[in-house]
Amino acid sequence: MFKSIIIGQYLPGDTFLHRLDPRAKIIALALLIAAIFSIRSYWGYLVMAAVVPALLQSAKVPLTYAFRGLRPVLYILCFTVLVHFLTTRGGEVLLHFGPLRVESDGVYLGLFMALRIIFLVITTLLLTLTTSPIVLTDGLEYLMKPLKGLGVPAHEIAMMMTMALRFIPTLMEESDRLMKAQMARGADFTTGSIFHRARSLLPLLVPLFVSVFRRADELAIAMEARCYRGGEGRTRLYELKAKPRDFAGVASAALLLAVIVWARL
Amino acid sequence: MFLTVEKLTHVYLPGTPFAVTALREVSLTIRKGEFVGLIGQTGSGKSTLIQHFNGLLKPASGRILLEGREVVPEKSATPVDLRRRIGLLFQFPEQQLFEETVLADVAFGPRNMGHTREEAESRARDALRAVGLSADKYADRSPFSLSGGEMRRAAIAGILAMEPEMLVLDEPLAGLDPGGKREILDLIAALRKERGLTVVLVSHSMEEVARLADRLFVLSAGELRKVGTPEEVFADAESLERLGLALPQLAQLMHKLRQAGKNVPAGVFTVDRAKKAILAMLQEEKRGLV
Repeated sequence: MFKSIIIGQYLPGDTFLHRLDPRAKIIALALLIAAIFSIRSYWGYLVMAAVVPALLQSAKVPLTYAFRGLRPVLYILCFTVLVHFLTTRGGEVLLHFGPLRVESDGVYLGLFMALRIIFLVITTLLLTLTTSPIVLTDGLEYLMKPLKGLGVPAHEIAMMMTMALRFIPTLMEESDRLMKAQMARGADFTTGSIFHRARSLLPLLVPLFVSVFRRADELAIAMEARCYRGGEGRTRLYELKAKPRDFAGVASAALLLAVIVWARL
Repeated sequence: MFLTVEKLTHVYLPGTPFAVTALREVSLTIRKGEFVGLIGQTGSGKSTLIQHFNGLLKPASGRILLEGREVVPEKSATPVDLRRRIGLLFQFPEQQLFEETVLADVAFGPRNMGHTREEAESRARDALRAVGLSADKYADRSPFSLSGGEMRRAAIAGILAMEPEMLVLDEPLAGLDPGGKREILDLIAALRKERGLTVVLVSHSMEEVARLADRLFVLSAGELRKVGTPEEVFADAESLERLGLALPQLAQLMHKLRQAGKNVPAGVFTVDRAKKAILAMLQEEKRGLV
């Protein structure tokens, strides 16, 4: 049912990318995203096309698996390409069909944008596939700490994200089970008008909400029973310590950004 | 044969690094009117297997036959008739209650089968009566106001109201106190008798199923390891323990006696037969001494 969603699905492993400090990975990802947005020509994508698969390879992520992560953005991709093909004007006319015209600039820009989206998604996947959600939010909490002065509740946000992430698989399993349980009673979630289908979700949503509230309540009690009082004065079980390899990782990403900007690739 | 499973294999998340083979070439048959116990540790594939019975899961290979006709799970069309004939009750079924009143919830199944409101509600009343919840008292209450045991009964009624030929229950006793367990077991036995149902009871506990089941299927790590009457299955205590399953207490006692060199038959698990066997053994020993 929910099997095609892999954004945010962690692939356990013990490679260089897996061991990298989450803060280093987040910063490096930001730099890589900046690099992708700075690309001006297909030469830039050629560079990325050398770097990104190499990184996937080093993290032992199967290439097909990474491409599967593109599935959720497939519609956006198609839409982008189509709009550019049909509306961007300039260059030679490649196709002429009634009121529709495809011109060479449109093709150039459409494919350019599609590549941008593809690289953005796969690069982001590099982070989420090699970093467990818990470690990731830990890293975010550290990075948000300087914002505390501005009144950003860094710890609370991180804790909320951790819990949300923690319960995604649980809730997916639960909705899968509830769906099947209602299907066993003849419920039909797949046919009928939109209105009918929305109504048919009630037997799924009511029990799901009941259980979510029950779980939240139990979790709150369990946390309070262990004296949780928010981030103030809280120590951590695992301290994050930056190692030379983390600086090297960030530096390489910065270097790539610099090359792309300076060489106007 | 009522239900036949032929070389059923199921793989979760195929084609990903997370792929798990949950069932491996499982073949079995269930006769009409039979009471079958399906036993195995957590993760042995019991729940996966039963979800194939009414087409909720699609096999990777192999097939399922219901009275000789293949069960084909189509994604587009819900096989309503199949779901009606094979009533599947999930684990912790009280969590699936959602309607405003108990009656409306129990009538959900029959309504989906295409019955009118009146028909569905009259079936629901019958089903409530069958599970021991008097319709007058419970029909208009909110399902969320019931006690745990009552909720489970209401959920069972929700399946019964569809008037299935086969009742498949996934761990129906989980989380109940001993009294509640006995009540539900007695209820299942009574329903089978009254309605001539074929019953499949899924459990990780031998104790629960041994008393009622005609035959036991033992699953382990996705494979069917043992089939037979409870006596036959319990007679081979060593291999059951190797599969991580505990014998019923009395079968354990008899097994220990045999290990200690006492002459008692294997596979005994009821109080009556155990008493007879132990008395016979003691008398024989006495005679030996004289």
